Amino acid sequence: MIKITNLTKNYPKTKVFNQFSIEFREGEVTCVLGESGCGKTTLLNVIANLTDYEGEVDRVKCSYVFQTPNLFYNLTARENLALVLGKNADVDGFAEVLGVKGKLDSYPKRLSGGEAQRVALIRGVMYSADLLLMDEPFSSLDLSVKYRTMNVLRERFKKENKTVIMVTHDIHEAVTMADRIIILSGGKIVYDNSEVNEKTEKELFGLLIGKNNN
Amino acid sequence: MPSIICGAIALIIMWLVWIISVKTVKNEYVIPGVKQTFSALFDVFKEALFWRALLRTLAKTVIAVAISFVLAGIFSLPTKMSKNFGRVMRPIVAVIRTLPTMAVLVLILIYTDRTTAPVIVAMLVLFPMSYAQFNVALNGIDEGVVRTAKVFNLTKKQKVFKVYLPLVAPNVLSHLGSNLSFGIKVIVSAEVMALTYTSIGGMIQSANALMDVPRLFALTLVAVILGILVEAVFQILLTFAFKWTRAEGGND
Repeated sequence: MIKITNLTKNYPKTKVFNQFSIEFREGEVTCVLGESGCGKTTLLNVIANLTDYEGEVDRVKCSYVFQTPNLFYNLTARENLALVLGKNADVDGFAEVLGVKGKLDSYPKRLSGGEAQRVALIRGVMYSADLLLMDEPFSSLDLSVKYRTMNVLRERFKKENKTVIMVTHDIHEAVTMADRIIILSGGKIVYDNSEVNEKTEKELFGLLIGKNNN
Repeated sequence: MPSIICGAIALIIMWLVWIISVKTVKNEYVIPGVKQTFSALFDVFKEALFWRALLRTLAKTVIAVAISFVLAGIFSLPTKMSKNFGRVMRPIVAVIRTLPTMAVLVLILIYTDRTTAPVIVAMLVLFPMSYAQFNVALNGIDEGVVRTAKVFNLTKKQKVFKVYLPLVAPNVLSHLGSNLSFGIKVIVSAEVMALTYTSIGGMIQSANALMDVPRLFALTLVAVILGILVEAVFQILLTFAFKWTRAEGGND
């Protein structure tokens, strides 16, 4: 269990969280949805200790797949992975599955956005950590690559019983990947569903699209 | 328009300015003609003393640039890592930057010799520039890279040697060519003031004393050409290094 208790986080012109609490269960994939500026990325950054905050957050070893690849430009894709995962890490198998094996010896500037993001996914998923954080990890992937990647990751997360917190704007991504879906709004949880099924997508559309039309 | 044509146009403009000045002033002791200057230049090239002087001036420049570059690197890393360190450095660097160069040269000559003094003066001029260049480069490192290094628990050594220094290197080294070129200017000026033996500056001062204006112009031209050549060679060398900075490619 990863607990956040009484989290308060504000930016100069924006209040994000005020005495916010939440628990994440081990071995569960939780997707966080919400409108822009509701604090989804801030939540991940608080958990990863990348930003200051008030409150209590269980400190666990995190891995992170950022919204942009954030590869080190001076290293090839393979060297980027070796720096984080260790020289002996066998990345070729996973890279082949994600369709970037042939690009591992290229520098990031020579990769397309989608290829770089897949390398970042390999790095994040293979890094040995108690918790994997993902911030809109599929946003730079084109449709066919995205669905293939999502399927691969979903299988891998189930097999490894991985604890994942994923931020996304895409309802279909959330329904495909998640065991649990929460919606944040105004620094609060307005929806929390741990029994994601076929009906959840319709429910979420109604909630989120209907809310925007009000 | 290709840059070589732009360069040629620039040369022609400078050439025309020179010719017009000669025709206007009509006094070879003030502005010598192009033919006279180049004749003096070829005479200078035939002198063994000139080549020894050129090597010594270049050596002093390289030493001054190298030391100021390394010191700038050493001081800029803790500046990046600690705001307080940066706050302490700021007034010190400001003082060094605003020191009146030639007055400092006169002071330094009291404590050192005519060969060392120009090197120290050049270092004092170049250090603030290099320090600022390093700081800009370090502050220009993508925040995402910094976060990634933190999240994946890279050691300090890995951060410095595998990430930060390689990432700032192209930016910083791209300035090194112009720093060398500027360094030549400062060293030669200091050599003129210090009457440094066996140096380009010393030869300029001797030509001045003898009112040999074509020789004076020729030696000044040597300093200018040297500065341009050094900068150009450096830029060419840089294009072969840092292959990871080259243009993007690839589509999904």
